[in-house]
Amino acid sequence: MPIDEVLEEGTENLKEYVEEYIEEYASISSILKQVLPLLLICVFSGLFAGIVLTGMEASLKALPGLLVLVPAILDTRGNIYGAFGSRLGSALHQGMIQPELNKDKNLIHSIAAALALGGIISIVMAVIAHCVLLVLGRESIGILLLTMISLIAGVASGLLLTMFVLVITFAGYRRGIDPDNISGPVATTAGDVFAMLALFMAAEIVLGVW
Amino acid sequence: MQKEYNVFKIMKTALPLLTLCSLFGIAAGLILDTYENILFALPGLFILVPVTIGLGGNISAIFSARISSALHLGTIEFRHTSLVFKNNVLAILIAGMVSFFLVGVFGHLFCVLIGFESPGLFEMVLISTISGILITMVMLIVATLSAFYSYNNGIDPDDTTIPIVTSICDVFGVLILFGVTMMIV
Repeated sequence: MPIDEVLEEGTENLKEYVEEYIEEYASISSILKQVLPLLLICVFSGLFAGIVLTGMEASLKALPGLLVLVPAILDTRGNIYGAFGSRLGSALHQGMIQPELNKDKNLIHSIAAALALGGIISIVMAVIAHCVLLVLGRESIGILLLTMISLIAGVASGLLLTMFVLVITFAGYRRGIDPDNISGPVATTAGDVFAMLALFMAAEIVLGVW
Repeated sequence: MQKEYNVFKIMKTALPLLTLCSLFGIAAGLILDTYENILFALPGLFILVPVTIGLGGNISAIFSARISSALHLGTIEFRHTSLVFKNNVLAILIAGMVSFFLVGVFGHLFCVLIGFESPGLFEMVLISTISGILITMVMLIVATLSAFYSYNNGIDPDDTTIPIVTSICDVFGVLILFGVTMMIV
């Protein structure tokens, strides 16, 4: 029933109307319809990351301690660049930034924060991982190598993800898509893929140089 | 008042939370490292690790975001008779089951296509679906508790639940995946 008719008939029907609306909004099929497409994308990006990880078997064997970093790297990517996307979305909604690449102060500060956080947390992760491995008496390739791999992977994936989230968010906003609905999933799915590829590359570089 | 973004302010808020998230990630990594031999010995297990963590985190993030919004709107009560709560739990369980089932099917398919070893279609689907259902159930409990706990203590659940559930999901996800794999293969 349209809301105008309900309102004309009085408040008693309004309660029924709201209840009906909630029942429809929270029906299992409507939740599934909203959730499943997104999860499907996540299935494929996650499996792709898994294929890269399986392909890294030799590097993982040659670089003990690297495996400890894998879940942390995957996670922090989603967190940092998901937050970056959600910040861009809020700023676009409030008119703080325009959906174009310019020397806007708010835009530059958001980008700088995303890049800097990606770099700093890569170093923090590697140092913590090395210390924990040391305390537990397990094998580690050493704080220097571990930090180098983590930093190369962090910076490379960070640069790619910053550009990717920026372009997708701006392009979506110009086409009338609410950035809040796309930046989160984009950051976590692209984050998985880019982070694993960057880690693979960083491990190959370090193995090649050493 | 016009709010402005400042690189140092953003970093000051984000760094402590990110460090905490990496601690959980490293804990999950240590579990992987502990069972390294099994990981290298059992074919097809490696391919499931990132997708299990990622999917588990996404499912619990969606669920907690929905519960948080419902709490804000006042359409939900923490009771088994609450329609919104019940439907959300059921829908997320179904969504989890379906997506983890697909992970098993496509995981095996990709292994075969690329030439990685797979334990077999049936085993892969069984491992993925059973661990998926277990992870979804555990994470539903974690997400519900953290959302209601935050809300009852005057904290906006939007700020807390997602980092909490995704971090905890790393650890539980890896543990459950290993447990189920060792039982089946």
